[in-house]
Amino acid sequence: MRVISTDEGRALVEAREVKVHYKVSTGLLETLLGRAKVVRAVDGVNLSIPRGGSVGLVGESGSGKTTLGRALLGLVELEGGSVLFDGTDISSLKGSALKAFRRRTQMVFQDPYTSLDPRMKIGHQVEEPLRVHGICGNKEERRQRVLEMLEKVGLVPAAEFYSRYPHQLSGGQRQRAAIARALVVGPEFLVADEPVSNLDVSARAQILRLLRDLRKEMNLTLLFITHDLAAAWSVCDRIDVMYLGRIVEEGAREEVLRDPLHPYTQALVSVTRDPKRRKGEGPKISGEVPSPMNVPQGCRFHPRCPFAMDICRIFVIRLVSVSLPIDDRA
Amino acid sequence: MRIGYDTGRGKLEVVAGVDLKVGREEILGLVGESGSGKTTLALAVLRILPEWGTVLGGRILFDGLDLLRMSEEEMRRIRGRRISMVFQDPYSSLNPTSRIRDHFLELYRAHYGHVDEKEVLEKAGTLLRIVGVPEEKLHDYPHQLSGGQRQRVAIALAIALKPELVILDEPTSSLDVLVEAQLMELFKDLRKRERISMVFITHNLGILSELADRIAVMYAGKIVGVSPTEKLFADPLHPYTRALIDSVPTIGSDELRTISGEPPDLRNPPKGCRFHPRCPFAMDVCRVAEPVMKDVGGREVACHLY
Repeated sequence: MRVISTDEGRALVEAREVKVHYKVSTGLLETLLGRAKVVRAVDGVNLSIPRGGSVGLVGESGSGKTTLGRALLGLVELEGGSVLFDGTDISSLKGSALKAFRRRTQMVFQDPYTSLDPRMKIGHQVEEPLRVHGICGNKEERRQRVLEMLEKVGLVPAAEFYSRYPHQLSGGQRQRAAIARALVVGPEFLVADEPVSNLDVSARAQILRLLRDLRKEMNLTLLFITHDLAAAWSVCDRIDVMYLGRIVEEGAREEVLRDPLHPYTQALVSVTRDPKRRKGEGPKISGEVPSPMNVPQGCRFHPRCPFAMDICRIFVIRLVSVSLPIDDRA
Repeated sequence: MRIGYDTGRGKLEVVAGVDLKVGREEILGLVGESGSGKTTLALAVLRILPEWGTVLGGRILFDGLDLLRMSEEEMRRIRGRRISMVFQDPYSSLNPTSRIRDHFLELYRAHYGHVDEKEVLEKAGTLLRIVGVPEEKLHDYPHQLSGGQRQRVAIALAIALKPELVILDEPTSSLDVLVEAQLMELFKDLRKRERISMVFITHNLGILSELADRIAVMYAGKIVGVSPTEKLFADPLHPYTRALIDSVPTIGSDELRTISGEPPDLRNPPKGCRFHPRCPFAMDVCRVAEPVMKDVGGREVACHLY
């Protein structure tokens, strides 16, 4: 496993031993007796994204990647650890500092159908964050800013899309509108949570390309959450692989995706089919992700791991840094 | 086949003149983006189109039987027994209030009347083993199974009566990638074991590369080409097929080709070739004349380039 090197610059976003646990009440009695079950959605994660960097957070459903994304934005309560944004612990933010943090960080969701208001014109929805954050004094300035943003995300002619309603847009166009709404306030950090999973193949490629271009153009720091390793490759420099609330491997995309070390990553890479080439070989993984209410002892992946040894059943492992000669990869 | 939908906001032809054949023991992949008409075509074969759908023309022949002319009673005997279907969401095909065992009992009863319970449960147990679900799950309710197990049960039910044709509509799309890989292994296994024909509907071309014998690609209600799987990936002929393959991101490549524009509004489809407004090779003829299916080196393609 590899550890992110920080020599690329100071981290804009940093998670330190972050834990997010949800209590699930299975019944009144259990709750009263304090025996409510606990879902350990994120269970001790360290992550650091330098300014302008982009991290692909990959893993199957139930791995905790969405919860981690929300934790970085201060949208969930932490059970332990801390999140730092631009050097400041976000739990200490109040008043105007908190509001500024909300402007500097934004999120795009998987489903543009539910994240957009069906009764509101696209232009007004993109304009709303400007009003909330008091950016651009007058109406005409705001309208100009919105039109520029619509153009930037490829909703052209912008004036036409400004006055359309979400149902008049295709899935891909709706996701463009959602991206425009997130970026119109000029955030520094964007969490994109499975932004292409609900889209068709052709719209998916368009949105991936848009994210890649906008990232450079607006110097965005990006956390891209996806279960699609190839999509993560196409927009990110670094990859973090998550399994049952923990990061199991992290590193530069070339390392993690072309020469994966963890058996779980190896399996994910081998099933990422490339229509232009034959499928790669990888370990065959049986079973499904267990419930985060019943986390296995030792290494969380051991019940599904074809290489599991005795030690894996007992000891919790930490990330260790492994370096391999770079010239073996290309 | 031509199938129309009445949407309240206008009538549209969602399947607009499709000819397609599936051979015995063949696996045909049917690929297209949403709205291309692939599911509608499958529903028409089983005659379970939604109420707003109508067959406008064409015939569906199954082993010499003209399915569209059969009575509802005759059709009921075919569904499940000679042709069955697996849907994307196993929740929609499993009844949440009955145990897995009852699903099998009900299926056998529907087709054979009174059945010996013990015998059916034995068969059900064998089927669960084949699809890789522990036998004791027979006594569980669907919600007690994982997503992958539910889909495996739906597959067991679909093959229980030894049908000649199974239509799989995005059977792995709602599952995690490693579970999807497991199911693809199961399908490969079933094809060897069961001698069934399959139609595998998906928007994911990649997963078909190891399973399908032939692949048909649909765009805006029409088939643009049919090709043996190997040839389709090695050298796709139709510009849409080529673009579909190229727009899938791949690890190791920074090229990210896109198909410009959006799929057409079927209330007012483009004249000529339906793909021409998005096609980088469009010529004048493409704007006026609809291309017919041509045989090009063992492949069929509907494109004026050939």
